[in-house]
Amino acid sequence: MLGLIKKDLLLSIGNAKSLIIVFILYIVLALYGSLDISIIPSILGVMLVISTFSYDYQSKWDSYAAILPNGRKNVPLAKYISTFILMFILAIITLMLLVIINYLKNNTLEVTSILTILLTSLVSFVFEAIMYPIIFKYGVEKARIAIFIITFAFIFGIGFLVDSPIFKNFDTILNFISNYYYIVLPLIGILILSISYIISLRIYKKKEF
Amino acid sequence: MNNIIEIKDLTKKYDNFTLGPLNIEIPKGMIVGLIGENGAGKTTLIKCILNIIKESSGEIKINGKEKEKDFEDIGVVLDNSFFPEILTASNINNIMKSIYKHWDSKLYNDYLKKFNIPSNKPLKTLSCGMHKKLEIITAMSHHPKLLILDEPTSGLDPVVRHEVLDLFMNFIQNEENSILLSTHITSDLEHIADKIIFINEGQVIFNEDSPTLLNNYGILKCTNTEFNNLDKKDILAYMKNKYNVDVLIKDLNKVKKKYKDFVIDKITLEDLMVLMIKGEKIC
Amino acid sequence: MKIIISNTSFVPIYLQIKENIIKQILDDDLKSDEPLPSIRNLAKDIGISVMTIKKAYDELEKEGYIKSIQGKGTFISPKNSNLILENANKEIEKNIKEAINIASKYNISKEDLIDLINIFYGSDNNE
Repeated sequence: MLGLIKKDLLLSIGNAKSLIIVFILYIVLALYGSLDISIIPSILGVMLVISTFSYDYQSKWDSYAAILPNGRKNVPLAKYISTFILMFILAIITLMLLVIINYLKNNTLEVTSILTILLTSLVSFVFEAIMYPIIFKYGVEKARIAIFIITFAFIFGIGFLVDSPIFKNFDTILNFISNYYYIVLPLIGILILSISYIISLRIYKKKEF
Repeated sequence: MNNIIEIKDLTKKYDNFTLGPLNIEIPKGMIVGLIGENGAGKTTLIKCILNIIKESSGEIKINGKEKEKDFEDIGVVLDNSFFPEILTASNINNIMKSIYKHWDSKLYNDYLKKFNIPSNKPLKTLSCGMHKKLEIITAMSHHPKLLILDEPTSGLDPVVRHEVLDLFMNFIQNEENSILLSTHITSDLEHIADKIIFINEGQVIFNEDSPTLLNNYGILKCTNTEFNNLDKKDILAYMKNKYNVDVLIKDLNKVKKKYKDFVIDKITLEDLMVLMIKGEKIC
Repeated sequence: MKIIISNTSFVPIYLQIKENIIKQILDDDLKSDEPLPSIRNLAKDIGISVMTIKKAYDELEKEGYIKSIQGKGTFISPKNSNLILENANKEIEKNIKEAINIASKYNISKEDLIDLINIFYGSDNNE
């Protein structure tokens, strides 16, 4: 299990190296422009984890994983755990960047930014929770159309969410989930991912490669 | 328990292809070669043994146990299936030591050095031969007792093939260790395999000790008219060429005495395969 | 020990190995009680399957040239063991019969044949 998680994280790290320019660009824009970088972890995270599936697909990793001790059983769980770890690390990095940027700009860190990180992370968890069983079932190539459609749905969804009065009055949300949003939101994320995992595992166990 | 793998009445059905029913035993301590055309069912058989695909019916036992769910003692090389290409050899070490109980990092690194495989370059930058060698040493670095290798020597140049075959001979220095390997480069197996299993169209054509096989079969070469005078029961299969006829014969020594004036060649696995698949039979 | 194998020869490889070893025993290159490499070791070193080597060793043992001791390995048998002599006799017998066959085919008398043997025996010894 640990080995499989390591493999997915190493893949993401290897892949993130090629995205580092994008990341730097974001930071520069955030420093000198008015761009809010708090949505980066979710976008970057989704890109990274979906691309681990692509790399797996290219090298027919699934067949190979099936011959490792407990490989077949552990591949889906490793994917979910590594996704969670990756999103968490990205969220932490973004948070630290926010602190630094705000310090350099002599601003105070707004609670909105933290909430945005958590909310967008939650959105990407939901996205992944829907995508993973589809990918496990049909493979990343065939699932590509689904990725496309769902991505668009999410972009419009987020756009709608940002424009909606609920989001503007984030005080109401804060009140709604009380002061524990930083626990509640990740918990909802984990719950959704868990349900998704159970579905994925059932699909994967029966799969032939 | 003298068999490392026992296969009983195995079948795997696809829409346009059926494997089996197969009954195969693979004895401990041997190198067993699986030969056959592409698409004959070699990879399907190996995937069934390894639980990558599920058999339609039948039974597979590995080391006396129902097809193991746990592959701790098996090392595998699959055709075209390995770690994602952006990882490096040292990444593999890092991952595998958390996967296999008996993963031997030192042994793995020694192998890397021995075969000059760079540890910090992504797999996609390795040459075909390097890549294959890495797959093989990865399969061998957790001290497995059984190696199951699908086309381990394809794409390797003769020098590297030689190194790899040497590695296999080294592996079976331990009498408990066994190797099942499939290949279409039959010359690899001619000397080192103890047993040859020949599969065609999903069926076992023969399954014999390789010394017996290679000493017992031969090719008789004759003209068309001479061919008509041959004793039909000596002919296993034949292939008519433009200028001659190649005849596959059994009981080499007996036939040699019977037809003293003919050219009779020792068989190679390749000839045997070609004649069995493409040759005509007298029935 | 040296082993030379021809891949093009019609003689099966196990027989070639066997003959290689017998020749060295008879030439005294391999002395009695000298250990032979294990089957698997020899297989690796000459790149020939374990089965083939095993077949060669089995026949050598059956014919009394070598003996294997459980847990210790395989050794050259003491020379002049009856078995080896017996085998040598069989081999000579076979060849003499062949010689007699040829002789009778060409009407060469028994005495002439014996003379021939005497001549060759003598010339070989003088060499």
